[in-house]
Amino acid sequence: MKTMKFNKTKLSEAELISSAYGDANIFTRLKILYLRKKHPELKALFCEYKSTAKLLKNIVPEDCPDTLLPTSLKQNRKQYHPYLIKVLLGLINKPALPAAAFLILIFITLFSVLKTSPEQSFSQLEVELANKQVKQTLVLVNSVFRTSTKQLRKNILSEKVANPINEGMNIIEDYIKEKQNETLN
Amino acid sequence: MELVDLKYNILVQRYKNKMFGYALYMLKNRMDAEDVTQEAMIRLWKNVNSFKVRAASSYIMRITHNLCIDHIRKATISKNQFVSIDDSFLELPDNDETNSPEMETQKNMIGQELESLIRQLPENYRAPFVLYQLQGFKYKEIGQILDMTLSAVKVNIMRARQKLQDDLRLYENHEIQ
Repeated sequence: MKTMKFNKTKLSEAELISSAYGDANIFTRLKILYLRKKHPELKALFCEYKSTAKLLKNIVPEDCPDTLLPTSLKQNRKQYHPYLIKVLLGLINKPALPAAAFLILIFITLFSVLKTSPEQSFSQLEVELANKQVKQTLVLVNSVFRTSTKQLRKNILSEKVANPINEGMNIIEDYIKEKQNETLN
Repeated sequence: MELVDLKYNILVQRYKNKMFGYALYMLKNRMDAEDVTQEAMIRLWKNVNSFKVRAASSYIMRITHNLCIDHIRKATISKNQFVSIDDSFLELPDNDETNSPEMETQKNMIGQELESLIRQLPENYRAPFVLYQLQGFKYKEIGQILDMTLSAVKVNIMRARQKLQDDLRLYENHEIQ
């Protein structure tokens, strides 16, 4: 492999060629860009390669003649939609694409499941029935509270609290009266 | 339609032009290229279930390449076939009559010469060069198809480019004289 030397910079022909064909890395390209400005002979060589690369890009590959295609394929050809084939082949041939699509699909599904809680729909009849049941429950609770209040006032407060207090007060009163009588006598 | 048919049809639709184009550059002859392409399609049909779809491009091009090599080995390529590359030059107008844009004509001529020079490249340069430059395969895929190391593929492509440039330079010098 030839190596060209420009001032102190070495440049291999491979680097020059790959740069002209657009394969070289950015550092090689910059090096050649710098050297091209200083050395006209290098510039001429680079232009030669570049023009050949351009010509190569213009070469259109020949289409395969229809006569070579199997008959089954020729019959079925019209059934295929080119776009559909393109998409299908894209999915088949590039594993990164279906993988990415699959991941996106999973992400969307998870996101939608987590974000929206399941909404249940009820019929009008069910709603009315539920209202009625709620009202009945409230009435029951209300009646329980009323009964409890009554029992508290009548039975508990009067019998269990007020009566013993009254008894105690009477005892105290009797005791005080006895003491008063004793002092008077 | 069965799945096998579908797979085969999709692959043929996808790679038929690449197979044919590659065979054309390798064999330098349209009829041979047609034969090889058809044979490759038959082999593909027979083995359609023996490879993964992801590896289809390498597999198909490998079949085509092997068939081309077989064809080259079997047939003794006559000099007439080399001459046929330059048939297109016969259709070109004489220099005296080229009052039409001279540059355009020259460009076309160089383009045609370039195509013929590609066909004349040594086989070990031509295969990776055509696959990379004209068929758009990647270095790694070419390595798989041709059973070469990555560096060998790169070196051969680079040498093919170099050789093409030298040959074109010679052609241009010859044309000017």
